[in-house]
Amino acid sequence: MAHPRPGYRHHAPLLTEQGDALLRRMEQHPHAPIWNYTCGDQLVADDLRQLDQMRLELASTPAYTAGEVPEAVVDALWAQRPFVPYLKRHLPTSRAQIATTWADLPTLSREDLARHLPEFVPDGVDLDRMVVYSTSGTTGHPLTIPNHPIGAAAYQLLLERALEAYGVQIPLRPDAMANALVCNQVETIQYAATLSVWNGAGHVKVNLHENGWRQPDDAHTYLADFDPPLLTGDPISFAALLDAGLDIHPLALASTAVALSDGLKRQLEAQFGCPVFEWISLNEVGPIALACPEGYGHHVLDPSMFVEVVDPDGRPCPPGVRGEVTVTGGRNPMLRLLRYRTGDHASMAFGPCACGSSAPRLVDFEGRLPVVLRSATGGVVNPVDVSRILHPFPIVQHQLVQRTDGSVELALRAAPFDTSPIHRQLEALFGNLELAVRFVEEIEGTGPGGKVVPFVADA
Amino acid sequence: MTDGPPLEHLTQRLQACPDVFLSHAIDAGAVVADLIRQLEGDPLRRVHTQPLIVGRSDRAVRVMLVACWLLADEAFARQPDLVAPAVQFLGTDLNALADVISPDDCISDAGRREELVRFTLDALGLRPEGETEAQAADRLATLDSVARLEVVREAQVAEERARRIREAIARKAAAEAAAKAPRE
Repeated sequence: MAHPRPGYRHHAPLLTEQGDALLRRMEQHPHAPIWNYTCGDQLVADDLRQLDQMRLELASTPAYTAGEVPEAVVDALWAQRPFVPYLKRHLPTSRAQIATTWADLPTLSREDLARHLPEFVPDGVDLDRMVVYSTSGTTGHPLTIPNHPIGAAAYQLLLERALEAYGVQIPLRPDAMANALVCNQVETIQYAATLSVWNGAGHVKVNLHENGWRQPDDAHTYLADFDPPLLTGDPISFAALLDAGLDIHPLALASTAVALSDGLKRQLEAQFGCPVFEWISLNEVGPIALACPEGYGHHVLDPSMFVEVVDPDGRPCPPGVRGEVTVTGGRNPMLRLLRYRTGDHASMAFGPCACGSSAPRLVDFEGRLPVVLRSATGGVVNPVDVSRILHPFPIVQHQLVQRTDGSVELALRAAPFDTSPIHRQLEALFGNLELAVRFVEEIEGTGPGGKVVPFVADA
Repeated sequence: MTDGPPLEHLTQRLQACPDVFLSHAIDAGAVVADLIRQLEGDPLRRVHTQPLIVGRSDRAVRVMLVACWLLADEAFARQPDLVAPAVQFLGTDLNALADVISPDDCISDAGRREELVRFTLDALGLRPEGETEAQAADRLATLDSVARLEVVREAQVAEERARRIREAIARKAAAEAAAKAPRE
């Protein structure tokens, strides 16, 4: 059958005539945002079969207790061992020893990953199907993360699980928008797409910032016309939704990236009359845990993932004792990580929860706090815009500090290079403020567990 | 593993290897046969040396001849127990070494001389006089050209693999990612 948009085939091989019609409606709407990116789900028919299988796997609840390594995770590691150089080198030579020697296996830092990334990519994967996402992470090490269209689509399946936990089912119609991913940045990509794994339903990424639209009211009108049942984004963007007072009726808001405060959560729930939940997700491994509907921490979401909390020596902390959240497994076929330290801190709890789930829980999770930077005129500067400026440069780690007098200091761990382009772009972003960029040997960790906090706004 | 001759004695013997062992003016089959008779202590024994010669590279045969010169030392003579491991060593084990070091180097290069001596003693189940097993194994591992080359080859393969992956990441970073509903 002929593809409805031959030039778009690579982006969405499974696009149907109906999907094309929806895409046109979303793209050509008179109040549409200023599209600046072309993007589809890149899935092929065989991927959908694998995703159907994954959906069945996700129906089971992650189940392990203190001191246990889930069998499914051991099975997966053992199967991946011959193909992943890092696993071949560090996993024991018998399957049975994986669980028994677990606590002695080395942990991995984000810096290890940045330096030796190919070691974690399996042999035999089709590099032509690789998709890449960039992240600045919670520790200031910028990273470019390889994934696969199946790994990207797994996010939708895990969102289904999350929505189910909150008693929400969103309509997935091939003639309607199901989801808007909202941002609020000076500059970001904006695109419309359809998602095959969601029955061809529509999905857009839009920037609520005025730079993203032709007319001031366009964002209101566009979102109100499509009224997407699921909104995804981060707290800074959701806060902008509150300001906007949009005439929309979402069935759920899913927040990630930085911590969602109880106050903002309550405000959003009151305005939209629907569940607002936070989930913890990393580009490297995908979604990790979902906020408990009853408020008792964050439940591990994916039975293919082993989430543990470890001390500085990599020994698992007993339940109730805080340590660094460390993950193994997940749904990224291009990156197989073993005991990957996330840089976030929490303690673990096991056993039945008041919400009815028996999945292990992260308690008092301390992730990245939202940091609001200010320009010379007092406007909000989203740290994501700074990450975007820094991304093209060979930086190992960074920390940007804004002092109470507004002055901005950016410390870079990197082999020295000409920083004048960074300086110029930061000036454009922050305006007429004192601005310094310098190279350092080490960045002092000031966060929990000595973590380097990439953005700091002094109170 | 039992005590063998002193290391220095054997390296000096290698250094004194006659040039004729590196040339084509010598009958390789006859050299091997004489060696086996000497190890056996039976000058009348019939020896079939063709399997050690036929089909092997000229380089492998030359390295074998140098090793024969080494084994013809009086210290190994009349020890029938050494015949089987010596034949195995000369016919098979030595091939890997011959692939990476030349017959000339076995004589003229101090490091390769010591390597051939240690490699030979190890194949015969002997260690240099005065060394413990651990010391002998450790020193051999340090000198092991075959293992070293294998490490280099593996490193090259890993480097090439990493290069391909990093290039793919750079290429794909410039291309569009796949659409997904949530952000990180």
